[in-house]
Amino acid sequence: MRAMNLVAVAAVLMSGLSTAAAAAEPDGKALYARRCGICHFADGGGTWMLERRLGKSQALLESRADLQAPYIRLIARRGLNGMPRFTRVELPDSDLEIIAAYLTRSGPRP
Amino acid sequence: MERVLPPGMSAAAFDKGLVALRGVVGAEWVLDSDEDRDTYLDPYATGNAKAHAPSAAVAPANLEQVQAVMRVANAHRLPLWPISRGKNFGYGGAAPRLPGSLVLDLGRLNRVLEVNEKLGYCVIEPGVTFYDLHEHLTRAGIALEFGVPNFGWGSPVGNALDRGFSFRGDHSSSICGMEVVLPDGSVLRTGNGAMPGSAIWATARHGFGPSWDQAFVQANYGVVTKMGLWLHPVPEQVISVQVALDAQDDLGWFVDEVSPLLMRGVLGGNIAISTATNSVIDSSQRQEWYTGPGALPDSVVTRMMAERGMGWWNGTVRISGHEDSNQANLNRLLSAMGRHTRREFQVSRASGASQAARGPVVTRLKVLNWFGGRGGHVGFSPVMPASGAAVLGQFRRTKARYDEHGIDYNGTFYLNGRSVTNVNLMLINLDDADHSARTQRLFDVLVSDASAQGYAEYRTHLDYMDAVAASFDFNDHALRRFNERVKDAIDPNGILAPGRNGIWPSAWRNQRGSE
Repeated sequence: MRAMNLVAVAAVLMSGLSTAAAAAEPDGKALYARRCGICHFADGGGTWMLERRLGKSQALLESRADLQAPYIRLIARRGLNGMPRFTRVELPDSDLEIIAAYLTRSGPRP
Repeated sequence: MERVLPPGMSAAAFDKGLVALRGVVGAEWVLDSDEDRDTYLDPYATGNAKAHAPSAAVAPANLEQVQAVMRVANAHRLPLWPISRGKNFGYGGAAPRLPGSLVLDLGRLNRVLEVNEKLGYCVIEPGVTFYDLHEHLTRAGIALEFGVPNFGWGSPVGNALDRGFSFRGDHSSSICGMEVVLPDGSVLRTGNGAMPGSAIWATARHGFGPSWDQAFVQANYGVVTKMGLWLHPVPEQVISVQVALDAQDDLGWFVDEVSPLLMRGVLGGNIAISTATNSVIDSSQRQEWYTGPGALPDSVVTRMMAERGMGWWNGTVRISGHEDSNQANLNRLLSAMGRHTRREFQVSRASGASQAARGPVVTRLKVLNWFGGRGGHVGFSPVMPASGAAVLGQFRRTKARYDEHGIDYNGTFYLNGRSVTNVNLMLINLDDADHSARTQRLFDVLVSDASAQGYAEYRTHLDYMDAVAASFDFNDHALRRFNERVKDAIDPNGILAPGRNGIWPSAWRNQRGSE
């Protein structure tokens, strides 16, 4: 139920933000690996939990084409199910923006 | 979440304090939006997370700023709650004991200051994570390692300061020298660090006179800004023995056989032995096993054992060191266990370097998916003597209480040699208020049961700090009175972590026992 609410909130917040995906990708990939990879790479707990909830095709965030930057920001700061919230000290806004740009890029996906 | 102020403080007085803090760390690092406050709440609280709501957070960048923050806190009577990485999950996370406290977030002090491969130590700041330290060692090709608990995103400094442990044993015993900012903003260096230019600060524990390192562990006497930690040389070889014991009663002889091997140095660190459920809860969901009323029945656990090829008790005994001595120690272990069981245990060998290269993980977080929705967890962790009879008795009493409250039993016993630490994990369905309430009632009765046996917890959640501290009541709470005399002497305004581990400064003593 909570997940559905967050999706709804995210949908309201989506405002067609364009992302400088190509330019941000090198930093974004490295930052994603450093900040998120421990849970969201193939063998991570986050991937496992997403697979249970949404199916295998939605489990790896790096492979998804449906993520939107406002939703990513929202989940990072509010958490979701087992995922805890991340403070702005641990994950500064500037890093979060780069990660969001990386996950919403238009380029090739692993 | 809207702002919760320290008890009795006006918004105007609090805001003046925030203005002063912004002058110290810059506006960007005083975090006081509703969203910021939410990020410091305990995400896995069984009760009301807002009972430990912070008013804001402040994140200094260096020692001088930590000192200045302490001075501002004294001038404005702001209670501070220091955290290293805030990953103390199961025990309250980043949240403060006293609602309205300002979280003093040390995450920006994140430098690995020194690593000495020859002498086996590092000096690091509190914002360094296990992952950072591992990465630093790996990149530099340094053949040292540090034990990592279940969650590698935490802080070695914070973990040691809360007496966390891993298969390497108690991390607070690896502390060697600290730099501490006292509540008045002055700086102290402990042990040999008190000698300027000391060549042995992080190699020799004791300086001259009293040793104060351990006085800052599970306490609220100062903010640690640097810590020497002993690292372990990567061993030549690691032998892993997968132990599986079929009957509940097997726990007794296992404790009696293995503890002497730890005391004699045949085995090192600690040895963990867990119920079969322990590896099922992070690789499946409850509904796949059981949908009936009450706690998981033993018959379901038996089915888990059959389907997964496990015993009732399961664990990995690590034997690490040189190849020749490892084989001799393995023989001793197998001989000891062979006196009680004919089971064949799987034995595997790997180089120490390959084991060390694995690095920290956080995969254990998967247990939060046990119920499928919002999951939480708390741990009840009493310590008992390393006697099979004592440990078996504790297991039976605890499991009966779990069953009585309809909570799935999941226990691990960590054999330390002379003592055994029993971590009982309670997974909570946060979408089910009744389940949360039953878990809280279970926790209360377990504290009381353990106390009646003379067993105390080694560490506990914010909600239970006063209750556990109160069980240390020899001579009319002489220890608590001493702790609080020290607290009042060095922190007369009570600005630093009021209530941590049941130590309340006079300014806030009326909050003892508050929710």
